[in-house]
Amino acid sequence: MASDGDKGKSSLPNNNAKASAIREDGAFWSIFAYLISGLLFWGGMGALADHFLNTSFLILIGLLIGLSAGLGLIWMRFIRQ
Amino acid sequence: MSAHLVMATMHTAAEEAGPSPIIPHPAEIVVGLVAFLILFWLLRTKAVPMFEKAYSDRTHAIQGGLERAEIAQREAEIALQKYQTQLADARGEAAKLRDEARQEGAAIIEAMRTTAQEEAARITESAKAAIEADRKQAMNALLGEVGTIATELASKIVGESLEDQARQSRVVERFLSEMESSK
Amino acid sequence: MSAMLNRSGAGFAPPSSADFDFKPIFGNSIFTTKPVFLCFLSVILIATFFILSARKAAIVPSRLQFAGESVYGFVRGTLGEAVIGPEFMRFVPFLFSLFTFVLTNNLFGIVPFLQFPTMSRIGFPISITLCVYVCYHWIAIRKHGFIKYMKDVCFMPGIPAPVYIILTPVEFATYFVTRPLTLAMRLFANMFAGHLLLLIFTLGGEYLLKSGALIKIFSLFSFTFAIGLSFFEFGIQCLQAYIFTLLTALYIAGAVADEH
Repeated sequence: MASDGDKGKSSLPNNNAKASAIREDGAFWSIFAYLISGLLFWGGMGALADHFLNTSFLILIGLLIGLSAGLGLIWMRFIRQ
Repeated sequence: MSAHLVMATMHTAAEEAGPSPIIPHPAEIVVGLVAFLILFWLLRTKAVPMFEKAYSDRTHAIQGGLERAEIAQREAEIALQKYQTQLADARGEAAKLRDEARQEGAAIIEAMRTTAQEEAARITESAKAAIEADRKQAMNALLGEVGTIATELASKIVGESLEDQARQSRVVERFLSEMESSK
Repeated sequence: MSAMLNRSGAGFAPPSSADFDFKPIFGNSIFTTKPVFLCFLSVILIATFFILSARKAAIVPSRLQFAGESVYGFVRGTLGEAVIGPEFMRFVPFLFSLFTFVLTNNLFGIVPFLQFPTMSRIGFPISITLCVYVCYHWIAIRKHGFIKYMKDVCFMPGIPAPVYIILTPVEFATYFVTRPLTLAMRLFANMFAGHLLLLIFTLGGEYLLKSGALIKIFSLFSFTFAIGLSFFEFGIQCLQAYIFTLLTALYIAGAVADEH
């Protein structure tokens, strides 16, 4: 990937509008990834805790924490700026 | 996508004949990696540089055309300026020549006029002098003639000879002064 | 499709994951299965097409060059320059190979006689996802240094310290687990499910055709639907190739950006 620099100048006329539209396409999948990560990680933590402590409510708490963590990150990454 | 997934899971659940589809086959990972890296190498060395070359050639061709047009325009402008300068020079030259000619003409006319005036003055002068001389001569001749005639006339009328020089000149002078005063 | 041929005539057996499990075409090697052949076929087809179309690099392109340039220009402009920004040119060859590779292997799903999307075997999405994974982490580490990159990924500025306990694992999991996992799974699941759907209607139509006279008529519907579905699948296959490359470009853009 060591091609010689950016010798190509802009070949798109409405580059900025297009770029932001494409980034929005991608933002959807990033949001999806954050939610999945949050739910899986903290849900998994809750499930593990349930398993070892013989409880059954910690997975719910874990899922809620994961959801809020995911939403929080989405808010910070995509909305706060 | 979700519809797809539902269908897929539904049917895989319906019959668990084959191995699970989400367990990767190591051979396929290797094949995929090798195939993709070969493709990447081929495209990177053979295709992409040529596409970029076509792009930059095209850009250069367009820019080159623009530059050539610019040069031509600049040349045309220079030629026009040169032509205009030359035209202005020629005009100035012509005006100068005209002025010179006019001045020269004026000078010639002036010179001729002066010469003619001088000539005329000279002619007039000499004519005047000649006339004066003639007049003087005529006057002198006339004076002598008139004196003789008058003396003769007087001696004839008076009947006596005025031999006496003094008397004679007295008489003549008196006569002349009478004539002078009567004039 | 060996699995299909093994099917006995008694009753309709719906297609299953067994239809994705290919036996070696010759010999006993695991490297001679249909997906492996298709994968290498795609490399030959893509390389031949683009090298031929780019060979002359004419200012006024021929029809072939124009076709190649359109695809290349799409990846270069829409997926490269618009997403990554000024440094995009370094990554165009990678994105271009990725897009053409995924697209061609997806399209094999509706090409007559080939009719199998290579990417519905999860090994192939995983292999190219590995390349993407290594690529964007490598770029980021080379640009920022390992420690600063980890700090940027895990600790978002402007948050009270205790909250990091909750957020940091999620951030870390997103960058190092969820992203590559969803990248590979999305492509695999779409291709798998799409192929399964097509199989249901073509095999169903085949089965109905072998049935009694009156039922034969319904096989017509089944086949017609399969053809319509092929066009739908064509759209999905192109879209998945686009999304895969777009997300790769976005990850690279994130890696070359100054701040995360």
